[in-house]
Amino acid sequence: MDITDLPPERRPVNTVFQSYALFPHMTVRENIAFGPQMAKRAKAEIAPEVERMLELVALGEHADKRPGQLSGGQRQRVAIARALINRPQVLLLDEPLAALDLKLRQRLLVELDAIHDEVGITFVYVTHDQGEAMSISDRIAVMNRGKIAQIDAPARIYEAPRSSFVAAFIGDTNFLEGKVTEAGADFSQADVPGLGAITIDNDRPVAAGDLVHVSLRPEKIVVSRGQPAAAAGQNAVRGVIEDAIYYGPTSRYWVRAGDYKLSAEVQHRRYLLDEEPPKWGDPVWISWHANDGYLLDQYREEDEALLSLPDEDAALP
Amino acid sequence: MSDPAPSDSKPLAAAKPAPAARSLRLSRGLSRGEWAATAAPLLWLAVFFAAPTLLIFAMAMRPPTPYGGVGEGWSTEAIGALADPNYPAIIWRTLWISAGATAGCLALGLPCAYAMARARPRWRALLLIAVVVPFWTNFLIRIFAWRQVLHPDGPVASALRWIGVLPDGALLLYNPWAVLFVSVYAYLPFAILPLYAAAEKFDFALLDAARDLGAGRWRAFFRIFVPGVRGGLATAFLVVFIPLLGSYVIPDLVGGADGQLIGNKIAQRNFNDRNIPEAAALSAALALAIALPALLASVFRWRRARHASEGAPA
Repeated sequence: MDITDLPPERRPVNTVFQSYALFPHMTVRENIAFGPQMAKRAKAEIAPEVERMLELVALGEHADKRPGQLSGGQRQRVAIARALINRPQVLLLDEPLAALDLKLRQRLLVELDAIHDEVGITFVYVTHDQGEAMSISDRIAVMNRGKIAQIDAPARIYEAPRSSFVAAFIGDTNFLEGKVTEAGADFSQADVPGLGAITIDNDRPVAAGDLVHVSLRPEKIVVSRGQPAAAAGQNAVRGVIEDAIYYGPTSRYWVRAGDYKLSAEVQHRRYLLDEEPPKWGDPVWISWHANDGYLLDQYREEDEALLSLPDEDAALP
Repeated sequence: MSDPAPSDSKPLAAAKPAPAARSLRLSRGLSRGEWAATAAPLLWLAVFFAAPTLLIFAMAMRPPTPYGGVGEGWSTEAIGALADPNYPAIIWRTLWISAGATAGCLALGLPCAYAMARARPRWRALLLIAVVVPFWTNFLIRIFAWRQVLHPDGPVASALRWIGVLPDGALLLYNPWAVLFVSVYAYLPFAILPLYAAAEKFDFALLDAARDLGAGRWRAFFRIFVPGVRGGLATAFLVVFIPLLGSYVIPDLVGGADGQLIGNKIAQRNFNDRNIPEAAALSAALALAIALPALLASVFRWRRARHASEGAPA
């Protein structure tokens, strides 16, 4: 059914607004009952339904308060209950957690997931927070300028982005541009100007002479002092550490290799004080297996602006 | 006013609250600076509002003199005169015309305020000016203009008679309905301004939410917008209804004999009968009729506000 031309009150969709948009002159209970009242359902039918919703969002003891007397997280839950009581076919959540602090956001995300499991309807969850998107979704639609760039499961979005936009927008990555010199069955050889010859995985069919773009996630890159053992499909390049940020569980290195400055994320699996991690100015080897890169279908240079670089504020991954 | 007497320790303590309490605004008392800032308007109110009101109450209890003055001693003559059988009809007319005109102002003002608040900022300023523009013309002239417009030989009456809506001999002027109509005209801007002020602060996303939850345009307007601007409605009600209760010029000019209101009676007692105590008694009765409901309403609101703040989470 095409609902494009239907007025909002006739669509089988309900919305959780970013600003909650709770009715300030009504109590929590009245807010939740608003939808069924508009649908002209019987009073006796509405009351138990409201109680059920209050229970679902754990707001029973606040039922007679007004929105102004609730905390941000409680208001959010009222907004969810007020929408869900109408049993919409689709629940639209417009950045529902954007106005909350980090801890509350994480807790509500878990609650939201539990509510989703319980009611079982489709949630369309709009967010700018990739972490939220990754953790709660079955499918993610990455939008660019109002158009869908890719719809896929979170892991496919992350590991197999179709375009440079998706690759750079979700998570962080490195882009390598090269020309195929020798096309093989599983792997091909490509020459990356300013970096050297590398092996690439044939994520899509390539022929000699093709221009290819590889997206290489920082955590797929290994940083080592010694030269890594050569193996089939293994790429190794020499470089110098140009910047390092220590995050605790991980460190982020920006390694100058030829004309490239590659971002690598290293997990500290060992007790770090017993180790001697590479530091600024150290010559290192960076290596990755051809399997761990991904060939993009579409590449646009302006998407490089989405990558985090050390001279900008490097955001926590 | 801000200097407490040295012998009295209580105002001294109020003037110097503990610094912590002051910064947290836990103290409900006024600081010395606040007292100083409030002194001038308080003095103004005392001299030009409280004192004259008390004088009117006092005069109502004085006997009249034959030459239009206020006599010595105390008398219940003026208050007793309120029992005149003509008064209940006039009071009733004053009430229903004032209430009807107020309702008309609110009913017309609400959609105006809604449209203005939703208009683009550039238009908003223009519309606001349009609301205020009538004030550039003198009030009396505007009311006299209505006499021309509604005159038995005027354009409106002629047109209505021509299409057969207005029977021959029926007048648009000199009846209670003319008073009500012109009152709505005269007081509409006073209703629009507070309604607009409230509508401008209204979160129109709430209307989107109401639509999203299944409310049509009208139900969203009445269930969400109207309660959302109820503060503005209350102000608009007060600034229209109370002056209307004492209105005098409009009924005098367009009301005729059937459209006289209590304000006209006060004027008649004053200027025609030269019976100042009776005029004062009428004024006092009107003032009480206005003040008592307002007092009750504010007590009710104060109690509700206290109840709400006690129920709020810490």
